[in-house]
Amino acid sequence: MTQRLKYVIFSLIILASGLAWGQDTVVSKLHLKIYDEGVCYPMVRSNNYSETYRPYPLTVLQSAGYYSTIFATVRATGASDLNPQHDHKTLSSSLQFNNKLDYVLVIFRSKGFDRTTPDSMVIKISELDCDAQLVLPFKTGKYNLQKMKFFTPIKKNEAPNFLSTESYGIKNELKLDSTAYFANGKSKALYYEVAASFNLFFVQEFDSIDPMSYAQGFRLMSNYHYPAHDKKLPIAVYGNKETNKYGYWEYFENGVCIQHEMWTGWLNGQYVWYPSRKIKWENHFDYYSQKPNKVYYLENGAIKENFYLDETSRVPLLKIYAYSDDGHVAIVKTFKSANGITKQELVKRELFYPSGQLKMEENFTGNYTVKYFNENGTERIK
Amino acid sequence: MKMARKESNSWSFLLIFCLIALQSFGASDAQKETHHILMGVNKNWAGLENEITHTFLPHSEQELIQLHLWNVLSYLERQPVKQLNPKQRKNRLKNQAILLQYIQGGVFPENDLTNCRTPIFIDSKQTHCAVGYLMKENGLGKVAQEIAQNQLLLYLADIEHPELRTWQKDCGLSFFELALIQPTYGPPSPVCANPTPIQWTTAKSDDSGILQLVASKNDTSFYGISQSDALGLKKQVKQYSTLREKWTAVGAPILGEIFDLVIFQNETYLSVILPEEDYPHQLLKLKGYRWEKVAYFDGNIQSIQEFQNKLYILGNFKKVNGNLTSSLIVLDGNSIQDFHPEGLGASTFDQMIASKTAMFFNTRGSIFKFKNETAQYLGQVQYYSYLSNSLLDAIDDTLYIISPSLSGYNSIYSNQERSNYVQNMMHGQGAYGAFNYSHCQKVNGKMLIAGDFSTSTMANQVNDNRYLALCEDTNSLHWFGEGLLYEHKHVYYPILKEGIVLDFIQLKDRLYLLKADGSIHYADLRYIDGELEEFHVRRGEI
Repeated sequence: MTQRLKYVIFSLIILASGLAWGQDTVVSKLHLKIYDEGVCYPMVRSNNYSETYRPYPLTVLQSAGYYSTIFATVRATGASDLNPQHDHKTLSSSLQFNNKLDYVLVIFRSKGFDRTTPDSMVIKISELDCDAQLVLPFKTGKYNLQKMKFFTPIKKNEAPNFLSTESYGIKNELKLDSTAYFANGKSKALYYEVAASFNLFFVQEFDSIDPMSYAQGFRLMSNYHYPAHDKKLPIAVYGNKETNKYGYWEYFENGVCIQHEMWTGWLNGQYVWYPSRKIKWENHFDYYSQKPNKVYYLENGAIKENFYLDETSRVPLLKIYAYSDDGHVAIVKTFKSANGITKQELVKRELFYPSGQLKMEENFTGNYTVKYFNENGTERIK
Repeated sequence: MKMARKESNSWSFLLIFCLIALQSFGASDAQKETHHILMGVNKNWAGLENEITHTFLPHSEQELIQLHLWNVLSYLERQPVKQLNPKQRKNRLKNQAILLQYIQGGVFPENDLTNCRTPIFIDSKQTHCAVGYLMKENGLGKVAQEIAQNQLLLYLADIEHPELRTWQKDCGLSFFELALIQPTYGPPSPVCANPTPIQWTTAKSDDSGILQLVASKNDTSFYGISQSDALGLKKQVKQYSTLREKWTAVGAPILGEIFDLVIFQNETYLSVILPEEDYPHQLLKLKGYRWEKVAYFDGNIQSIQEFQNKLYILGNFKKVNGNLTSSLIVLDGNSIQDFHPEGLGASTFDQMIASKTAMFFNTRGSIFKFKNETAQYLGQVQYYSYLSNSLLDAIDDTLYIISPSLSGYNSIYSNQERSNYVQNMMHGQGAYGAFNYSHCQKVNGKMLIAGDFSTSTMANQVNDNRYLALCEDTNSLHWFGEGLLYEHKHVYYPILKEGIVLDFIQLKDRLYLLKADGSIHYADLRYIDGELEEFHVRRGEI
């Protein structure tokens, strides 16, 4: 009898294992691009998110910027690392989901300062077996992820491929507050009201000649309306020039986006493209660690310049590459530079053979030194 | 005698009457004006018009707070203290002394929180308000911090903290007096400014992108070193004719880096590094279309200078043409020789520059002058080891050392060093806000500084609570700009609206500048001088 029971238990274990093997757990990534009233809101990992502490519902994403009006929570049927990430290059953020669990993703949106009764958009997520991307124009209601209009499955670990805002039929729905004009009568800037109780404006700023060349994004214009006296204060010459930008700023030439930036009181992400849509340069700046990281590319993809912080010396350096006609690196110069543009002090210069081997290295820090090398890597005595 | 006494008595009566009348009629105009100002700082001044003793007109938020506190202190000093016990009297005197010290220190909280005047107990830079400072100095720093944490912007009457009342009873000051002390701090006040009105004309740019400008020996052209291809290696010397407004290539392209260009005895010389060559550091001379090797070096070339019909080459090299051991050579005709005249007390140098009458050498801040075939030690530049990215310029027998660390420049002549400070530098545009200079030169006796910075004519003040505001009034007394500063009567004026300036040259009466975006612009120096003089007169004593 005991022996028979052992067989039964053993068989059940084998059967259960077989079932488990037949239904593999899949962790899929969902890329989200969120719009509200026709304007894209950058979402970053919420400050409240913790990988170890999970009292559901868990706040996973929040809108980046001074005036955070949108945030997202997730409730799950089991423990799950949602790994909230942002990707400013595609103006999107991402979460990962386990296909064995059921989730409820809720996007909350509040208007003005009253955040006690935010609007909500509830999305049920279950059996997400593949990576996917989702464009999400905010609309209150309850939805099923796979049945949403702009839900698109993508290949595993593939970067999302979002189309232009217009392609999704999304249009700016904000209320126009005022218009500024150039002397030639053309529109200089359009100011759209975001919330009646706050001086955050969505602004479109136009070229004086070509109205198809323009920039758009949020500005926190604390001097735009002066609450106490309902009059405008003079704009600070330097203070308000750039640092009142928030969220994504997009730059269009002939109607085509050639650059976008991510602002949260300072510039912390910037992407510029060649007309061929190849990346021209990308620029990241971590304000708290004061770490710049700006890479300038040639159209063939090779690095032309790199502005970065040397971790050892904590000195920002600008490295400039020069290539010969056949495409090999001929000279690399490293400068001290505070802005990534002006070269303050040459630190190092390296010359290379066409084979890529180091030919000469000069160090300018402290006492000047120069070393010459043979193509086989041995030092050449001059 | 009786008559005289009677007359004297009547004068006394008149005097007493006048004194009484003055007292009765109340405050003077100055008192009224100051009282009106101080009511904006603290409403507790209501009814105390006659107590105003200091009546200067404040020119800044700092002076306004000082005006308020000077009057408070003088008010406190005149109040009767009979009702106080000895300990309270002693504490009162001590707190009056602390207040005096606080006023003289002149560092007050900054209001970067509200659009209207408000008390701020401790600001974001940990600067205490007057009452907070009194508490801190009385050993109640923790209480002051607790108040700042939860009741930062409250008036004293509204602040609730058990230890505040206890301390007040002991400190020798009444609650009203403490409330009178507590100032409100104004938001930053706008100072009207216009962008510099100096107009620049855009010159024709070279499509390939100019990296550097070099003066020529005539008044109608200058040179530019351009990036000849997108890959970054190929460079091309080009000459710009101001008459034809056209760029022309000079010689063949260079596959490497061009450091400098000098026209010497009607021939064009370049110092270069050519990565494909066995000895990459070379001095080249233009012959027809080709660049010919004049000399090669086993290390870096720092500077080439023409001085009195000879060409001087300074570098980190040790050998020239494989046999001559030197790091400073002179080229005279076809001969290349080591240059080390008597009196030049070092063998290696960091910098070298020539004027029309002298050559200057810098080795770690020790300055030598070479003139009339003799070298002379001029002295050590003060605090040289603290100077970053120092640049040199020389006019006749004077050497100029320019560095962002100096916020200006020093001039060295005849063993003397003089400092000239630029006080209105604001900030750079880079990630770190630091400004830097790319090129500096004395132009018509005035220093011209180019680089990456924002600037205005408003000099910074201690505890500055002002900000430059874009103003529609074209008669404002401040200019702002970027990238280029010009000295005029000991004031530095921004003469370019915006842009980082990489280089400039003077061509007779014209100034040409190269911006970081590759564009080239020019303006007439007489026009700039005229505009500056007019503005200088308008600004008067500012």
